[in-house]
Amino acid sequence: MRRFFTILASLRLTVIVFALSIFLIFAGTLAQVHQGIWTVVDAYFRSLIVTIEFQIFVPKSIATIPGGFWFPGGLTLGIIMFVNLIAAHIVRFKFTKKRMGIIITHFGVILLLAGEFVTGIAAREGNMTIVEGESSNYTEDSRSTELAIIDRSGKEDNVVVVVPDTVLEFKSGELKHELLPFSMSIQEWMPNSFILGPEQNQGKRRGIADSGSANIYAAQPTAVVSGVEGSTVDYPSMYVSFTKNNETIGTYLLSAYLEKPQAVFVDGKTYWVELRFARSYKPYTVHLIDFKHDLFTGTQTARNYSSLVQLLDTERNVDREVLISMNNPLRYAGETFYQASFLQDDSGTVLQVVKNPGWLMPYASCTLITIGMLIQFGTRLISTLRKSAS
Amino acid sequence: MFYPPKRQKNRPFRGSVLIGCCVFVNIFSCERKEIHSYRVAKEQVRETRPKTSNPPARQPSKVTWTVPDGWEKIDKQVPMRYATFITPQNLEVTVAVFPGDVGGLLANVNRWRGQVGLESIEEHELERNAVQISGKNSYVVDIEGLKNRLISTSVSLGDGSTWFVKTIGNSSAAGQIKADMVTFSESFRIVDSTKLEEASTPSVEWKPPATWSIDQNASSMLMAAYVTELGARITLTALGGDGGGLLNNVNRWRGQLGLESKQSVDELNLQIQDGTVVVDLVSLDGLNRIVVGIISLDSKTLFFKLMGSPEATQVALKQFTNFILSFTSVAGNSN
Repeated sequence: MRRFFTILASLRLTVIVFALSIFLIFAGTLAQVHQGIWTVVDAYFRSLIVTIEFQIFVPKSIATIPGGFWFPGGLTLGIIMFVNLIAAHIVRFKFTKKRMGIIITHFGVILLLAGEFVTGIAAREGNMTIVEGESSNYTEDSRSTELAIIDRSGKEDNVVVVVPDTVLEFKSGELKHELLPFSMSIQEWMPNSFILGPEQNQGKRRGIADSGSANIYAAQPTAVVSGVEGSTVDYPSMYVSFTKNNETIGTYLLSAYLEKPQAVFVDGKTYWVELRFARSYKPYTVHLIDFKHDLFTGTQTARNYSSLVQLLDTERNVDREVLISMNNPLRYAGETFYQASFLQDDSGTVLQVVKNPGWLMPYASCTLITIGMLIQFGTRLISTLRKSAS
Repeated sequence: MFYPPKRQKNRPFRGSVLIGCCVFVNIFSCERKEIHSYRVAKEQVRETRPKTSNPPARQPSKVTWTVPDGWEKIDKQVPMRYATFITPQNLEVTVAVFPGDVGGLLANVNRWRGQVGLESIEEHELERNAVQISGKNSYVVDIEGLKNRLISTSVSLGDGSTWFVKTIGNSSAAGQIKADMVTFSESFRIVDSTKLEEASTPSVEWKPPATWSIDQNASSMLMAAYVTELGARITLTALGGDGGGLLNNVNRWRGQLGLESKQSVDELNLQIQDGTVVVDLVSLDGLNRIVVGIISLDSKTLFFKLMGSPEATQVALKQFTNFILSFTSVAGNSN
């Protein structure tokens, strides 16, 4: 067992992991030229293993190189680094005054690794878009989409069946749910797409939708948004067929571009279907009283954006007005509401709602690392000065 | 990194650390999203139409432009087309606006090449096909096809949408208007759409029946939207000119009900009541009905639309008719 821990605490292992990490960051940065930043973060830095394509190292205009190679992902390297550091302290380090600085520094590094781990697992963020005078009780995550099938026949509530894009992307057979009297089969899934209008929806570009109010449109796949394309997001589209008892009800075009759900009629009942950015419903409601977009006098340069909202939470008995502005987020129920953007004509606001239980950890770890290094180098400096003085 | 060579004795929590790491890895790698269901408070149903720009900007900005001499604007409104012009060379120039970048310049160029019978090109060939014009991310593309020549500009005004000015036709005629198209495209400017809306919306007043409630989730493209007690929905839209033409509109509503399109106005079976053109459509499965009243007012066309289940629309029909009639009288007063 001791031998095992000695291996884990190896300095050679530390150097190897550092070298691998440097290469992984290099490859992950190159991969963002063609892939989305969050796709790369998930595939390279929050995975156990990643397939690095040879193509990322050579522009396609120079040569097309197929294939790739396996490489430990950021999660694997992070865990090894974490274990290596812990093992080193268990096997080698002894708590002495002299070692205080390095121990604090290492503890800061451990906290930093743990913080990223907690963020990767538990952090959630989404946008809450509210038109002035209206309310919202959900956020949308523009990095993921979902197929929603909504039954509005209930008196008070709607029943919503949700199929996440992670299922839609890989589902080749039929999709079923106990609350739905029909099944669905994905005819085509487009991770990013654009919509052709009725005039373009002709000839070889004609879409396969034969039902639904969007059947006049067609969707065409396009490359996913890469990490170098700023703040644009992917707009997935899909063609999906609804079937009951082997009889096709219709093939629909669903797209994140389409704003409203479409009706599917089954057994005299209407189900509303839409492909939308993944929603996360909240136990509270935010009502936008006023959105302000202040300008510097005589210019079109923005001075400040602010949203005066009313926060309503019947469970916690909360009903209060809050002003959210660019550097003054609202923190409520473990979530932080940032002023992120606004609607055209200043008609509404977009709040970024972030929940990250580990948000304090990077601050704490950086503070610890700073203190540790100050102690470590300070002690050495004082010791050296004393020696030279004597 | 510096490690002192001194060793420490084994600690009892070594095993715990290992187990903890394994559990962490397990939790992380097993995170899966599955099909699931939940209940939420009711929302209103609205019509499907494409989002008109990237969120959070959901509608394209209104723009002003300088129309070249001799170009005549015609009322040929089709979905997703913003305007149509006829040039002295008898070429049709269309202005369209789409959300986002419509797949990017390469995708657009290849789509246009396909329209004139040419093969797609690769990204590195783009420079030969697209020439930048003034304005960030704005280009003119000139493609000599097998039979026709296609000239199109792609204009980005920074509002999340892309504007296209396009013509297809005889090579010589298209060449003659290329410079005008570029000048026209470069004249595009975003304007304060609120002011434009105020100026273009007919100044009318109306009073809905007391039993109708305002549809809070209605699109801002609508002048008004209401919901009846039985769930039927009433919308009021004002469009310029003839609002895209009677046949196009009726066929759009027919499409919403899953009915086939008609080829001419004669086939539409229209009714005219007190100066209002009335269209009454029911889906083949009998589950949905759309009744539309159309009146002209101040060079605009007003569309009153009642939709919902046959039962709900029938109950609301009388109030709906009175609602339109009250508008007609206001229109009469204003003239």
